[in-house]
Amino acid sequence: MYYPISALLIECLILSVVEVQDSYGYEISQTVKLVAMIKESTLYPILRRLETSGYLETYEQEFQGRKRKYYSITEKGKEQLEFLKKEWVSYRDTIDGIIEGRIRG
Amino acid sequence: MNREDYLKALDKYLKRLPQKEYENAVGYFREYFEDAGEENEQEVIRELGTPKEAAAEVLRNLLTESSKELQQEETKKSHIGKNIRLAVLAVLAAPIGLPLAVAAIAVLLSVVLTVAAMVVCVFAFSLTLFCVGGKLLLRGLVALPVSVPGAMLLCGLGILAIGCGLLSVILAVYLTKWLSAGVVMFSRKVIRKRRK
Repeated sequence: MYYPISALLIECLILSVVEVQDSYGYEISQTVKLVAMIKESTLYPILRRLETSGYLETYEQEFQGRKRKYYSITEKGKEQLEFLKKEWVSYRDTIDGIIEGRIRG
Repeated sequence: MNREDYLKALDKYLKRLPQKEYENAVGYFREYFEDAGEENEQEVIRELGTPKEAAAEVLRNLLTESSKELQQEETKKSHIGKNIRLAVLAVLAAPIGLPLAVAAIAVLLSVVLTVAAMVVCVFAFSLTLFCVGGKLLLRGLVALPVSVPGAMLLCGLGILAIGCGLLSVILAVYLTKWLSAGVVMFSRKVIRKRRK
C-alpha cells in the first residue's frame, strides 16, 4: 500500500539518491519506486526538468560494453536538496506529532 | 510485443519532440529496458502501457515540468527585478531622501524632548507640593501650643498640599506612560509613510 506522494517529495528523493553517489535512470527509478507508484513516463520528465533547472548534470560512461547516462548533483542541486530536506523533516515531524496525539491545530 | 518493436513504436511517437529532447527521451527508455534486463522486459512493457500511451504521458509530463520550470524562473526574475529597482531608487532618492530623513528624526527628537520636559514639570510640581505641604504641616505642629484652631488650619493645609502632591505624582506617571506610547505610535506612522 502506498500513500500518494507529492512531486516535490519525488524531487527530494531523486536528489538524495544522486547526492550520495552519481546514479543512472534505472537505479534512481527503482529506489523511488520503493515508496511511490510512479511510471517511467512520469519520472523521466521530472529527471529532465531537474537537469534543465541546473540541479543535476549528466555524463556518459561505459558499462558492460554499452553507454550509460549518469546523473550527478550540482551545487545548486545541493542547496535545493537542503531546502527540500528541511521541508520534509518539518512535515514528517508534524504528521508524527498529530498521529501520536502530541499536536493539535 | 518485444523490446525492439516497443522501442521502435515509442520512437515514432516521440519524434515530434525537438531533436535534443527526442534523443534524450528515447535514450532514457532504451537504457531503462537494458538495465531492467531481459527477464523484466514484459513487466516494464506492462507498466508503461502501449507505446502510444507511454509517449502521450511522456509528452504531457514534459510539458507540465517545463511550465513548472518557467514558473520558478519567473518568480525568481521578479524577485531580483524588484530588488534591483528598489536599490536603484534608493540610491537616486538619497540626495533628497537623506535630508528628509534627518528632518524627520529632528522632529521626532523635539517631540520626545517636549514630552520629557512636560513630564519633568509635573514631577517638579508634585515635589513642590510635597515641600510646601511638609512645611505647612511642621509649622502647624509647631503652632499647636500657641493656637489650636490656627494649628489645625496649618496642619490641614499641609496635609491637603501633600495629598495634592501625591495625586500629581500619580498623574505624572500616567502622563509618562500615555505620552511615550503616543510618541511610539507617531514615530511608527512616520516610518511607515517613509517606507511607502
